[in-house]
Amino acid sequence: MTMPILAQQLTSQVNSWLPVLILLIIAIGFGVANIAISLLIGPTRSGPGKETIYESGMMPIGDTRKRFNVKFYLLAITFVVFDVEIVFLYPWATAFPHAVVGGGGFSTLLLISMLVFIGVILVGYVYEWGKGVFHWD
Amino acid sequence: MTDLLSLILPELILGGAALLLLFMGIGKSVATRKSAAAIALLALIAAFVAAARHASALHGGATLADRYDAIRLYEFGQYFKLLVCAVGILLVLLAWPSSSDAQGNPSLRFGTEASEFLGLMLLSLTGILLTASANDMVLLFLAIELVSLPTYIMVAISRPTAVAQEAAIKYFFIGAMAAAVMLFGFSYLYGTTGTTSLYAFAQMIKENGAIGALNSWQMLAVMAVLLGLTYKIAAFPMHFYAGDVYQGAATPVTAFLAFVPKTAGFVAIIKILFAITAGTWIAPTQIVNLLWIIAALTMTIGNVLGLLQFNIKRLLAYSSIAHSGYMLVGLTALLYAHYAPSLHSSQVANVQNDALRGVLFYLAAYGIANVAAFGVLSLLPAAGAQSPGSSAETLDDVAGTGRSHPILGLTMAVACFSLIGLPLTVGFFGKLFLIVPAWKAQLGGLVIITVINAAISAGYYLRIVGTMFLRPAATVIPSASATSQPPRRAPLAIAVSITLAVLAVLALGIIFPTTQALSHLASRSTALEGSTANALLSTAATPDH
Repeated sequence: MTMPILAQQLTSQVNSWLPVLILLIIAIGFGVANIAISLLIGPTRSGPGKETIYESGMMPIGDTRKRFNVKFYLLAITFVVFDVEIVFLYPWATAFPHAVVGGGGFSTLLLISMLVFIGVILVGYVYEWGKGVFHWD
Repeated sequence: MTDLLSLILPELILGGAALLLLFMGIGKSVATRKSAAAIALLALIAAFVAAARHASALHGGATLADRYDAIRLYEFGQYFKLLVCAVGILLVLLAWPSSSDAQGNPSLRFGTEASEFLGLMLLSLTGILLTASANDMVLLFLAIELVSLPTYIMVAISRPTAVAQEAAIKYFFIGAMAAAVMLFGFSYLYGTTGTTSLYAFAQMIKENGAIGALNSWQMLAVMAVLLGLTYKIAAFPMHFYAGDVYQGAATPVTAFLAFVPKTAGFVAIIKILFAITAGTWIAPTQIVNLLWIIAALTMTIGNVLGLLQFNIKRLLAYSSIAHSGYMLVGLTALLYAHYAPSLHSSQVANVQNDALRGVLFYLAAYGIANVAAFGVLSLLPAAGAQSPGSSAETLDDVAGTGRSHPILGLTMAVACFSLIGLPLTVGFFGKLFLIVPAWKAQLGGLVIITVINAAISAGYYLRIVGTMFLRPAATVIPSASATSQPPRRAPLAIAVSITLAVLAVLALGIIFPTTQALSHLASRSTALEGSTANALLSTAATPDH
């Protein structure tokens, strides 16, 4: 490979990454500039009210290192699982009609795949239910 | 489509049974837990039969692929499916809930979670079967993770002690890191070729004339994938978790960990190497050197650290690292054969075939002996007052047990001899089949390191046997009531499992035709792409049988 071609390739590579570089510079610059400006022109008064943790306007009670009931985590995981299921269902639902129209038995495979997927998640749901995860008392 | 479903029928059986077992986990009766074990066993037998169904169709190096090329089944994958189902049966028997309340057995205490435990075991085995047949990088990754994820939970619920929890957490976090690195590697393999199909990848490598010369991104990718997989096989850079995790888990789970993720890792490594060499086993020299170094370090670290242990499970953990090292010698020979300076080119394919056969054979030999060793350990009582679900752990625990339980002692001796590689056991042929191709591939240095390591390993294996037979039983302080009881009767399932394993070790070591049959099977299973791939092979390599 001769030198000019290599140089040309390099330039074209650099050009295609230029927007990313600019975005990166703007992003870093925005952060740094904001901190710098508030340090420079912001008032530096302090007090007990200002020192407390901001908790949506409420008075904070205790600190964050508390033990939570494990059910919160289980519920959160259940939520994430069903959330992800929906994320899969949307593209599937948009592709499925085309497969039905297109024919060729592909739609059956798609349907079975999705039913298996939902079935697997359903087993997990029933298992959680049976284990009493949704009992809150 | 039917063709896809029939190809993955063994996986479907195991996965379906696993889901059923999870359902059964809701039930709280003893009968449910007892039937869960029976279902797991039946599912494994059914999966074995379903996998064996393809044997005639695959014979002679044919390939079975589905319409979407996600699954490509060769005799290579077939071999592992059968092996894993067979050893899986022994492992399920080791974990049989044989206590009267079906909450565990002498060494295992999963409480009311028996069904879940067995279901997770089946899920993990499903993962290996999928690893063996996957042709798609995404599917391969998911399959490998399907092997590992259930094992994290199995470690945690295997016994109600803090060590088990600690082991599970360590195992999980290091596993997550390894998986991330591996996935990163897969993403670069995809990025450089635009395909996730391993077969298409191999073809692309060949068409670009890039055999033995990957570009630097691909080299990075292969290294990341190898790093992730060394975690699964517990080899050099990612071996350090093995001691803690194997010690923390209940003994039957340790037996599972020592075989199942290791097998999945080796299957995946061989598949990746196959893809990046386009089936020619000609890899860039850097990768060959890397494997050489990993193999040498893995063996040496495993064996030297093994010498220092007093906890038998920890000792077997380090020995399991060493065994990965021996098998990596086979893989190094496989890749080095092409570069061997004075190896005649007509012999290269021969040596490659032998080297890969050695790895396949060794995995079987190791898996069987491993079940026997851990099985005996799970039956021996721990000295002193113990929490439920604990069996012999330290050398002190087993001192003198060879004389009080002669059959268990002899079984342990056979298992240890096989793991050392002494003649009259299957382990001897395992080592032989690894060392001979390495010697033929002119890896003299590595052969010498291997032999020295085998000698070092004899040191600690013989110490187990010696402690069992020669040392008097440790006099236990007050709570001697536990040990002075008449020896526990071995639960039937565990006894059957150990008996089968020991008989296999001896039969494959003494009765030569059986050894030959297994080695022949392994040898046949070395051609991944079979007849169709001879189109892939660039050097006119003719695998001979």
